[in-house]
Amino acid sequence: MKITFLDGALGTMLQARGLMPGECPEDWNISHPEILQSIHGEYYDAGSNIVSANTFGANSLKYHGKHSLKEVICAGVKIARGAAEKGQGRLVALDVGPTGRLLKPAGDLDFERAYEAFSESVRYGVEAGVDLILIETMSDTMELKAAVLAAKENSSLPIIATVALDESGKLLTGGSVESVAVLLESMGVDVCGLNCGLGPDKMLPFLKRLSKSTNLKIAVKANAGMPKIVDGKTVFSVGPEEFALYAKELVNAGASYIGGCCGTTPSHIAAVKKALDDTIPSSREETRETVISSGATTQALHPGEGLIIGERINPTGKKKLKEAYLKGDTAYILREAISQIEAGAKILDVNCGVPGIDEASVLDSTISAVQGVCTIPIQIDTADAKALEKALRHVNGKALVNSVNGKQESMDGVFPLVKKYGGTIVALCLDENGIPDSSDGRIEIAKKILAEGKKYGFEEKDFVFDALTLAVSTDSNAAIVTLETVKRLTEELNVNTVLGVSNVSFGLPNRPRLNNAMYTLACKAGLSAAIANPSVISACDDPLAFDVLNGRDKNCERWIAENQQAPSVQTPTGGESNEDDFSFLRLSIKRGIKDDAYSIAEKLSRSFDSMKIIQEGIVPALEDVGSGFETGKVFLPQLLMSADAAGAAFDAVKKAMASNPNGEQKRKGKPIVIATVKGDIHDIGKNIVRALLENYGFDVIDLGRDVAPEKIVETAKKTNAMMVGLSALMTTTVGAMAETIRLLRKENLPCKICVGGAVVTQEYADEIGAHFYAKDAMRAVRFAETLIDEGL
Amino acid sequence: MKISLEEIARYMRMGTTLPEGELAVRIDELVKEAPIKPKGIWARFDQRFFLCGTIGSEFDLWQRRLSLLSATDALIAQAIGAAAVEQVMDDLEAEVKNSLSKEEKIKHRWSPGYPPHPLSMNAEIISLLDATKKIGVSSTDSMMLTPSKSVVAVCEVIL
Repeated sequence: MKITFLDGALGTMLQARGLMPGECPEDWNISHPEILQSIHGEYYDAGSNIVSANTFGANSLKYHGKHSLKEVICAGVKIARGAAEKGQGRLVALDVGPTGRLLKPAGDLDFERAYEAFSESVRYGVEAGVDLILIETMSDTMELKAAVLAAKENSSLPIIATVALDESGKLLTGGSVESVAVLLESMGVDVCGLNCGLGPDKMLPFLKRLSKSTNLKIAVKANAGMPKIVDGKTVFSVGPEEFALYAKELVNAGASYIGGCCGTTPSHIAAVKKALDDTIPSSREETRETVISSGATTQALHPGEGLIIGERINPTGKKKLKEAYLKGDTAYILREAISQIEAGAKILDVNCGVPGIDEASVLDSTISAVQGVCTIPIQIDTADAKALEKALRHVNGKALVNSVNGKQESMDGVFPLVKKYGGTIVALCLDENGIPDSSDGRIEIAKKILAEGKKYGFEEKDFVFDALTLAVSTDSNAAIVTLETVKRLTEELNVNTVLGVSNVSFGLPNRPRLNNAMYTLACKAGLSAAIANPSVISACDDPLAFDVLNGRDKNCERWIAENQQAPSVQTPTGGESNEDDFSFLRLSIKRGIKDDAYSIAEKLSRSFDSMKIIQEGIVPALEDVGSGFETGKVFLPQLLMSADAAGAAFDAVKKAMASNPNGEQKRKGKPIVIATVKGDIHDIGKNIVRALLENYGFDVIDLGRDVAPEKIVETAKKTNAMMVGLSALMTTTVGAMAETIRLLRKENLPCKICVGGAVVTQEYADEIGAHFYAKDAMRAVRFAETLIDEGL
Repeated sequence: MKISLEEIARYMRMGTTLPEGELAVRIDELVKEAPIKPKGIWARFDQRFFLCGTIGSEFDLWQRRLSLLSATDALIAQAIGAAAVEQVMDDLEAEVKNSLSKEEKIKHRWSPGYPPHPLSMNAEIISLLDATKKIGVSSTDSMMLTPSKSVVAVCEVIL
């Protein structure tokens, strides 16, 4: 194998020949073909094996030049082809750069729109006769994924994909080098690498990290140092000879495709070629780790570590989550996500299997929303092939796919999707004949799945095997077989394992205790990951529980005898509370001290009825602060601190009610649907309104930001809402507010419409037909209260 | 990066009143926690300087996350972000001033979107500065800037 030489900067060369800032470089394919052909020719002559056509900005989202996209791409490729034909073995790449837009959830651009834009360019490039696709200067893994997918699905050409890092070694959107490597390898590109952003010296340490985290070949195109402004002109500091010295180090660190980016010239490439022509790419150690990723980070799995995959975003047996899915209450789901991360989850399972919902679209939007607030990797959990495909296509990073099993039908369905989009597969040791009751049987199925997977090019590291947990209450041997299977999968098959541990305790008292024991033993047997509730699961030393799991407690008799007496909830400690505590509660809310408000409310709820606590403790304090805000004595942050403290007090009261059989906390009136309108991605104002409404006891459904009018109308209709709150920050998005109101009115819904936001005024609210203009959050609460008084 | 408490208070709509007690403590904690990655770029085109600064997109994720848990925290974060990006812009403006010749001065800095300058100028300036590629700032369909704590500005030279 030899080093492959790429070209150097094109933009720098064009600027030197008169391209003006802000001018479309691609237009020069039509207006100055001779200049381009001469630059390409210089690079080939300097030793480049691959030259990129002048198509970096040629995608429909970015290109706003004088010609049609097809014209500039075809012309660009034709010019490069012309230069290539003057020598032997010269290849032409279609240069694919970013759209210049930020994709959801960080920005507003739809994945599919980006994908379409890239696809169109790739089709033109293929038609014009390029030899390969070079995707470069990407700074967002989401956009990178869209570009790679477009290249894969619209051509069968080799793909080189490189990203731009900043000085901290991260993408502009925060992703690490490793997260890029893992994503690109799982999507099946041919070469991955780095370009632009940094000079070769600064790039070196990050290139080393890249090289360690992938088995793909590596390309590097560094800038000629950092740009400086000298006499009003941009000058790069690293000359050809120095650049060539660095190039040698880059090759030693693992690169086998080498060229240059901003500031490099044909002389740089010639110097690199001279220095490296006889060099053989250095050999690299193969990585066999199982790694998954998000846009920002990676997570490796190792036997025995038992890292936690948070299981709480799964509606099975969870009434509130089910309701949240049905109502579209994303905020509730996201809070579940965040609390699991805070409790130590390293991966989040996302399942939205609720009967009657469109699983494909809900799973897709839920994952996107979760990735908008969390950076840990995702486990996509669905049995619906359509939902799996959509989620795999749009998830940021390389996800865990839950799951495939030994049934031929399952493998035929899942493997091609994972092959296409990337992912690590959770494989269940069961097949057409059910779950084998011996570890031998389960190992056989695991081998079968592995063999079938290898036909698709998957390896051991692409799988995590689920040894399957069954209830010890029905079969005292169940845990033994599971643990043995974990051990054998780890030691004999050399693969990572996962378990949903909680099944083991089904039908027995004090389940968490037994689950912890199962988790402990499984980790000792080699378990890599457990699907569990991170706030409950932990390792333990529990001889009796170990006896149960090891089949040494016949019919679980000792366990049942000991644990049936065990109290299900801890009895609250601490003294009785008295009327004084009401004034303490009010004070803590007024001062906005969350922890105090919670603990006093908790104490009160042992002695007093919850309505009394709300009516005499929480509400008067909020009223005081609210009217203080209205008269200008209290500022917004203090109002919110009080609202947060009141929220904490509500939580304590709610908890007390949950342990009381009659307790289902009553919310005021019918639901209130709130949203930031289509096109608007700023939602601080709306979030403040939500927090206040919730803490005043209203039932709020928060649809989030950038919400389509149709969705708002649909939700208002479905939930029979009494009020819809709309927020818009910018003059460019108030139009969407008007459109939403028009649709709501057209449907003749009984709900009242309240609007607010930086650019909204009373006049505008009247003009677009809102019922109420809320100048600040407090006024939205007051308006909602009047609706209750009116009996809506 | 130094972010002034006065500015944070101002962006929390507290006017000139300085935060005290619990609030001040929380602001201090969040300032330390905030993932601020300041980046800026400027260039001169004849008698105009174009500037663009941001504190990065990780901040947005952090703020979205806080807003789900505590409205107070979200408000504080929003104020920290606003103060931080203004600081980035002030620093850029200082660089611009340093680049001036002795006889030149600049008028006060302004941003598109404040009349009479249309919001659509944002996209043009971003393109001129190549700010999307260099510091990751872009404009949405509805002409908002992403990351949300980003600013585009103009300084005009007077002789």
